[in-house]
Amino acid sequence: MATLARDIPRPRIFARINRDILATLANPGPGWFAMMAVVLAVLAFGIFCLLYQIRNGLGVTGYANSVYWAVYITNFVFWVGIAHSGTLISAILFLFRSRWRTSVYRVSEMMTVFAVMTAGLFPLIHLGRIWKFYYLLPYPNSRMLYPDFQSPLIWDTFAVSTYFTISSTFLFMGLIPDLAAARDAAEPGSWRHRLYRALSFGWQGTDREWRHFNRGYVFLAALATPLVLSVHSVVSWDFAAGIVPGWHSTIFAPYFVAGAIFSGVAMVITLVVPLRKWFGLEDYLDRNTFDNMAKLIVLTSSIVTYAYLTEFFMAWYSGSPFEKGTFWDRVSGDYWWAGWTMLICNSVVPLACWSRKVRRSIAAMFVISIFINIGMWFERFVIIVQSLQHDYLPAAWGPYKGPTWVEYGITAGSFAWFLMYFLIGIKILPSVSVNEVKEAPPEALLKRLAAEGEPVAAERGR
Amino acid sequence: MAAHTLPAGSAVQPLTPEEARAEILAAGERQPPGWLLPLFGMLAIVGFGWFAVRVASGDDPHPWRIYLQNLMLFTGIAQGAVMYTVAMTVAKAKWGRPVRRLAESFVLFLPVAFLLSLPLYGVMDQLWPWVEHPVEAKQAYLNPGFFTIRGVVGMLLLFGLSLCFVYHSLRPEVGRLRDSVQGRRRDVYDRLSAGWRGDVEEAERSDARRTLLAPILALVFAVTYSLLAWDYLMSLDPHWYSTLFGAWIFMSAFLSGIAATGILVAWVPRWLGLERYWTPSHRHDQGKMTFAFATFWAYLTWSQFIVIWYGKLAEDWPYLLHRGQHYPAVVIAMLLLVWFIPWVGLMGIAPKRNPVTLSLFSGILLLGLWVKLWLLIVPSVSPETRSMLGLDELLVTLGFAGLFALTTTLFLRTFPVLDTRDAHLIVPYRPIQPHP
Repeated sequence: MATLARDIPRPRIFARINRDILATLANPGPGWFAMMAVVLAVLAFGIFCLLYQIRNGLGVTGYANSVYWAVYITNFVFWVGIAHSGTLISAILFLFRSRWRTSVYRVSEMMTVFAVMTAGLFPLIHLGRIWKFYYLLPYPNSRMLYPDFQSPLIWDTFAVSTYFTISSTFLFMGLIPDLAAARDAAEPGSWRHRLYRALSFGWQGTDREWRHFNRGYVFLAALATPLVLSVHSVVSWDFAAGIVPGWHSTIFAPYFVAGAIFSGVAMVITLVVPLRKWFGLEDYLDRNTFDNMAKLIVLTSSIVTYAYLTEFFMAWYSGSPFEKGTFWDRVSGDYWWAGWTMLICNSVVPLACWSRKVRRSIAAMFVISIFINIGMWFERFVIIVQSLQHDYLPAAWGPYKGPTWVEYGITAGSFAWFLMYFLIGIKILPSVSVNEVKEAPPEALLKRLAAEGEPVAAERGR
Repeated sequence: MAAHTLPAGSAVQPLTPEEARAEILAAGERQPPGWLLPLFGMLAIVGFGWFAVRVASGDDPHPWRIYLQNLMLFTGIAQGAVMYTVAMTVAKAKWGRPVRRLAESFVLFLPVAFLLSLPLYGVMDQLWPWVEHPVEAKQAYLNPGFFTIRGVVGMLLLFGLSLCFVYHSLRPEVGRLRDSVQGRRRDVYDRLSAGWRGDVEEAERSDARRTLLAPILALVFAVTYSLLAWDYLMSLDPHWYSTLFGAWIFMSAFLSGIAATGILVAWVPRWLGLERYWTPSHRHDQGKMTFAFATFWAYLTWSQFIVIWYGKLAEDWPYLLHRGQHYPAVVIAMLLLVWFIPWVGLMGIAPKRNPVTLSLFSGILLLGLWVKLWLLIVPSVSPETRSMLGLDELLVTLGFAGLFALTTTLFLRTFPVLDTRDAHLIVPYRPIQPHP
């Protein structure tokens, strides 16, 4: 006879959780190496494209009159956006006491840090003379001239570097108890043991340590929360502070933040679906987790759709021929296909998530998440390229002549760069939080343990 | 987290759910102080009387502006509080269940608000400048007929759905309790539970309806309240537009609903002698929500400001410039009252848990939102720079406040102030685990 889930002794559950999650850190097999080889090859091509661009100048891109921000800035905004769900899930949902976050927050935090590392490359790639990058830093030149602090590009430097600092600290701090568990499981003397011993700061799991850990975690969560809003708001002001029609819009900050969370959650789903299969973590990343992430998608997709509709309405209501022209051009001009891709992928496809059946179907959510990733990339492309190629001066109108193979190569390289870190990350760091999952073991795991039958007498006694 | 200590005395004695239900129901029978209802009535009569005299005795449109301002404020509170319960339903927030009924208690103002909005359509020419001087490019949207249809249909839809949502919160309860009450309450309970199908089925049915309605209501709220914001407030300056305006106004309404609920959470338990059902933790959570959404309001305000300030375009910059140059004190007062003072005041743990400070800062916040609406309305339409401290402002506001308090008291005296189905969640009193 199967045991009731509540009768399963805690130590048995905890031991199983340790075993299941730490098993993901086993030495990688041929599949991992094959993927890594592909990723490195693409990355090498991306690096080649970058070197080619540095050698030959930005003329190798498709920049044309009035369109000097294009795929690179699109990629920058895309990757910063991807980085958002991590902190939302780990910090904001933590403060809101959403229990479902526990199994998925680690992987989204890892994704956050790697995505910011990817995003940070693009302002540099976008520079014609990349070796002059230090002009972005708030540091005076030899004539004691500082960069323009009223420039949103400088705000970006601050916002992104702050976000990187806090999100990586937050990731690392949450890892300490888990790394200690990994240390205890690792073979003494192995490189893993030495690494985990150094990174876990001698964590023993005493009451005092937990007390400090919990306090610190709450404070960091409270610090990270405003960052979720501020980073992408600042990115949005890169555009909204300009006066280009289609950019100068007050709704940009909250709209970008919602869009960032939207794309971030979609990317988490895209990554977690293969991961749970690969690592056999189906009990941890269960249907409830997907259901809840899909609800976040419904919410953020609704906000993004609200912003789209408001912008179209206001362009019409404003009576301004420039605003009207830009927004009409979005759905009927040279880039109509990009505009409609954005609207369909971000507003229409996610409507499926209103159905509980779809939310709880992992295959369906995987497909929808891919659509959203594509749609959100195109959203940034539409905002940037389409607005720039249709601004105030009809004489300057003209489509952007790209993306060229260099831009495609660097874009593909950025995905490879991100995946390289991700592949390394999931083999070194536990991709599901060991310590938080123990606080609320997932239903599916309890059911499985219960089905496995009576615990042995020694376990029951405790 | 501060140590949780049990309050001294009888408040910690465990009760059975039946005893708890009886106690909550009996609290509704307690007579409020004899002067309270007459006071609210007097406020309403004096306020609306003054308004009637002012309107009848001259062609100064100013009283109508203050009327619009207060209509938007109190509608915002009532609707925002319903949305607060909608958000809790969508998020399956367990902590908020004892707070829910208090947030629902403003809902009776919604039908009143609908009635109060009707006279505005009769004096549109006094309030909205585009009626007398139509803006050609916007005539398809800004014309009196379409404006009226949008307002009436939008309000009917939004308020109707809100009432339906609250109805499904009340129905399973009043049906079960209808034999325990007499007199007026019995009539109301019988009417609300007509066609009763039995306790369990009704509860399941109503919960299913609420789960279904909540996201729909959220969408309807965002859309209709944006339209209301653009029509009633933004079009006062028909040349100005801002894409964030609708969202800013509906989030302000949401914030005002949370803040007003905070005042009830602080005091209703004490007034009704039901302190054992609300713990300091509930006030703490309530305070956190107020703190968070006040900050979010500041974020939206800033997002709207920075873009306009940075662009300095002829289309939108004058709107801010005019307010900054002619009403600097009002602008500063708004920022201090809505955000800065509540933000500083509610930052600590103790002020959130203390009923006096929680309600004080919530009240300050509401006052700030009142100032905000004044700032959106009066400078747009008043040719001369006016002071915010006038008799119209004082008396019309008091009139609305009196009416609002009357509807709220009526609700609180009719329905159990705590969903008695939730009584088992908190009885016997037990400290909730400390949590961020």
